[in-house]
Amino acid sequence: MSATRAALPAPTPAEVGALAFAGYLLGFIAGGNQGALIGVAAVAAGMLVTRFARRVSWAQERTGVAWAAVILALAVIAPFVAEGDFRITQMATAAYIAIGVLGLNLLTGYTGQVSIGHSAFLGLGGYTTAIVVNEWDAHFLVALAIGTLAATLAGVIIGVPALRLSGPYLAIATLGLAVVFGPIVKLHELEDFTGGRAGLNLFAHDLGPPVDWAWLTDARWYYFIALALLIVAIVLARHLTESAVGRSFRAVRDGEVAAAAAGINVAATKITAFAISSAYAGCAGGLLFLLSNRFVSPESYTVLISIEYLIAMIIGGMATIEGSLIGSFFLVYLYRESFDDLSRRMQQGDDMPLFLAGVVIAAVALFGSTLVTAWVRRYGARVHPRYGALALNAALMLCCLGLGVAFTAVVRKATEGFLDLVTLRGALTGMFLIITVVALPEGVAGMLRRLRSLTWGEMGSAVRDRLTTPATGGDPVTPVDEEMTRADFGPVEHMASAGRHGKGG
Amino acid sequence: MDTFIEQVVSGVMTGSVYGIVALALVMIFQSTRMFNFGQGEIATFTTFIAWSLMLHMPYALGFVLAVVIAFGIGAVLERGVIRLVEDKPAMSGVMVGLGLFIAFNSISASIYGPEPHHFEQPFTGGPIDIGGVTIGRHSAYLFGVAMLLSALFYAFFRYTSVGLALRATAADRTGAELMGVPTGYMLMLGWGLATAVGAVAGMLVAPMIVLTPNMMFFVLLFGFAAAVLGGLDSAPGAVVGGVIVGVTQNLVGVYVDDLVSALHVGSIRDPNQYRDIVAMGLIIVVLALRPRGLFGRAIVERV
Amino acid sequence: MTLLSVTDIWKQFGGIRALQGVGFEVEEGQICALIGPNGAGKTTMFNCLSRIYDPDRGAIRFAGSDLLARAPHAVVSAGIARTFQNVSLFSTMTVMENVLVGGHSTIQHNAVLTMLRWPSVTRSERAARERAATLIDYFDLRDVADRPAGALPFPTRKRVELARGLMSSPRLLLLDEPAGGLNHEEVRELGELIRSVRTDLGVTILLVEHHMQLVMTISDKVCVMDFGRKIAEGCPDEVKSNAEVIRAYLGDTPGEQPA
Repeated sequence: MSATRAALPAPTPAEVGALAFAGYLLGFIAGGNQGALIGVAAVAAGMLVTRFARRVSWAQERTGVAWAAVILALAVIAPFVAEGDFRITQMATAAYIAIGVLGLNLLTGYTGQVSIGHSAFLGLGGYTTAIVVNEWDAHFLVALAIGTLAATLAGVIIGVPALRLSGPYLAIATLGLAVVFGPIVKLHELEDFTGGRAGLNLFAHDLGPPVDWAWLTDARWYYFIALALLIVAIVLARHLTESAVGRSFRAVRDGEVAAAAAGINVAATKITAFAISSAYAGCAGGLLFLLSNRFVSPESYTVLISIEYLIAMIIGGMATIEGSLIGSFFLVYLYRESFDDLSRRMQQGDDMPLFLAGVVIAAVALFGSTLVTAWVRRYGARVHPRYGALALNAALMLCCLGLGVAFTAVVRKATEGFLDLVTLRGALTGMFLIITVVALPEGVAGMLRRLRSLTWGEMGSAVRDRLTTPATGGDPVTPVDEEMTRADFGPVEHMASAGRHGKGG
Repeated sequence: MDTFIEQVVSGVMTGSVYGIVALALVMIFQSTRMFNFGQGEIATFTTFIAWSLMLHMPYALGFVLAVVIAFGIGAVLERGVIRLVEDKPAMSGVMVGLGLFIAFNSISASIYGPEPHHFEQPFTGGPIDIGGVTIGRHSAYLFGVAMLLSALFYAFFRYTSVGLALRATAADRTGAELMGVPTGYMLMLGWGLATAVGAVAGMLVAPMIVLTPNMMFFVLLFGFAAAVLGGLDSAPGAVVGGVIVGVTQNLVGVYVDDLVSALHVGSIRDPNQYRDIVAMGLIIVVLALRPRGLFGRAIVERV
Repeated sequence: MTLLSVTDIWKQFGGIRALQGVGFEVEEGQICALIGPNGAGKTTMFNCLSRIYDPDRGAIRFAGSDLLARAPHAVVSAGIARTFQNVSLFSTMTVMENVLVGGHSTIQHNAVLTMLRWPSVTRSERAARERAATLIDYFDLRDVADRPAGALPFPTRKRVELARGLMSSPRLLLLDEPAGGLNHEEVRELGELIRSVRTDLGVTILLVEHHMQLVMTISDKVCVMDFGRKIAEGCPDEVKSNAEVIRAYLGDTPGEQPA
């Protein structure tokens, strides 16, 4: 932020932790335990690079570039350590979904125009790409460009009537759009182009790499296409959001009348957002066609896709670019994959996932609750002036373990025989979505941004503050610091806490 | 001409189901200014509960119990979930609605499975013949129930003090609170009633289409269409909107073929496939031309 | 030289005649105040000037061109900026970003060029940031420049809104009740600020205000409105002694009309 600072501060704990975890996760996903080691090593290398960059004056403002380089290096290495094509395709899937979610974020997160119709834009992109390949035998990238263009055009056409709608009304109109997409492509009259109900299967078309290198398998080629497009999408979105256009998006979201009074053409801004957003969606849709075995069908682009993308956007973080990436990872790896994995392991009689889930839930509930914290402070001091709170906290941790066991037993008992966990995925996601909207309106990205301002010392004192009885006479967090953090929390947090206090009982 | 009348009449009947769903949506919009995207799935869930209840008891008892349970679900949801987002931007409400949508859909699916269930038909007997137009008995009663419900709600909001308090809460929360209206309870009541109405719609729809976890999806969508057409702030408007959607769907199904042949642009193989497209197109057109619906009042933005 | 001339403006909402043939002129470099009891139509007049409302009849000419022919967002590029009665900042954006939005019309904002980060985009963005930084210093907002505007105290938000308005280098600045919600000391500081803005930045100022002391100390010209009509016009002293104005303020009015 500040350009006048002489030297950048050391990396914060949150940065280190988040990156190490990201490296581990990426590595593990791509290459199992071996890959995880490589991932962590790469992050460590990145830390060294930025550490070095901090000392060199010209590089001081470029640490962001260094981080991006590390992540990019990871992303390029990943398909070569990945276990099999399935993992590579999965990574490519995460990449294309990130493009789609990013597009949705530009429209809904930045400009505040709720769209439940993105599956239709995705579908239009996917179908157009497939049809162009099928009819004219065009190169995939050419077809994808045409598909993207078609979606952009549709975005403009939909954007014009949408100008007069706001909030929930727009949500309904776009929902209608998403719903009619299926019936339209299924029309008998369009069957020659779209393949009707059965969809369009272009498995026979070779869309593989143009060169015959042994290491460049089809899966890797698709992955690199998706990755390259994702990078382009991120760069373009960054340029957009950091400029007058991005500011006009957010200004329209925050207040249309004030935006117009400041000289912003509200209608043109909304249409621009619609067009760019649907272009991203169209591109994602074309990649979806490529990655799902060159196959499009009405079932690939249902409303549920729109809802999944919205969930990814909210959980990742609205109006942030990194949030879109985090959201797509959530969707692909946690929502789609881990859940299946988890239920499989449960069915095989493995209790570990359930136990861990129980412990985490109990820990969040106990340690996150202000009531419990206050209770520990009050009674801890009575037990022992210095270590009483620590002892109580230790007891609470044991409680968590116990609750984890109890949770496992209860879920086991309740799900005995008839309940299939996979079908409950929606219930959990729904709850997760609601909890995110309520408790974490800025998403994971917002949380990371807040954490980023914490330094080692602050984090240590926060933990100490929470676990032990604070030393007399001094709150570890000085009033000034507290004010700073509050400001970082932003107005949403302010309003939320004000609301809580206001109701209070 | 007979086909025409028959199609219109049957459209009115199906439309009345949309009308009931729209009524529930309007009630929730009136009390909490949010569209409950979860409405249909909650209705499906309560219909499933009614189905399991009816395995053990007569229809009427199961019906009443299910409505009571639905009321409870709605009230608990308002207290436990909706209250947490009511101060937040409209988008949070949309998201919570979507969360409820997938949560309840998946709960129904995981408890009762995806296979269709047979739901009891309360009104048995042959079709009714009114002046040469035959109407299925179930649809006729359905229409009756829809009319009754909307009349009841109209009267409730218009002539009872609780209804007045509910309207006051919807119109001006702070003002109502200052006048001594327990707005918290009113919102709970509004959600409870709306969910109960949704359950009624679910139980009436289930015998017409089979009972599956996704049963209400399109019904909800057309309910939305109806509510939007009606303008979101009038109960009678919601029912009229439902009827318009139902009739349009039916007429499109029958006459799109004639229309296309008359225009000499080829022929249509299966006219029914255009029903949903045209109905949704209608919503988009109405929204674009009259953003506040056909019967809604315009709201002047004050600066 | 006459900068703004308003002639015979009529505006009706349903049965309420908010404006009935209002007309006045503002000279370049003046501080002109529009006063009147509640419901006199002052804010309606303002909203006509910034094209949020379409008047039913009448003409508004600004620097020789027809203002009514412009779209609401094009009023800024004509050279008119405004603030709002209860301060209308973009609450999730930082102070710096809020000020930059004020200069939107002067920054290259073609979406395609922006995505490609065309040199012209970078250039105009840099120029705008420099100007914004100057204004932020002028209004003493340096310390809060990177904070979200929604979390700031009310008087600070007013200064941010002023800076945002001035970002487009307007010739005329419309202030809608700038003293509202401020305490005595803050109003005095505001008065000084408005005067220095006029001299330092050469802006003509038209304000709607209830705070008589502020109006009487800073204005060169005062127009008094009542029930949608202009009842008096002149320098502060003339207006103060005008019989009709005294009647409008001190009674003899048949109750208040909704705004």
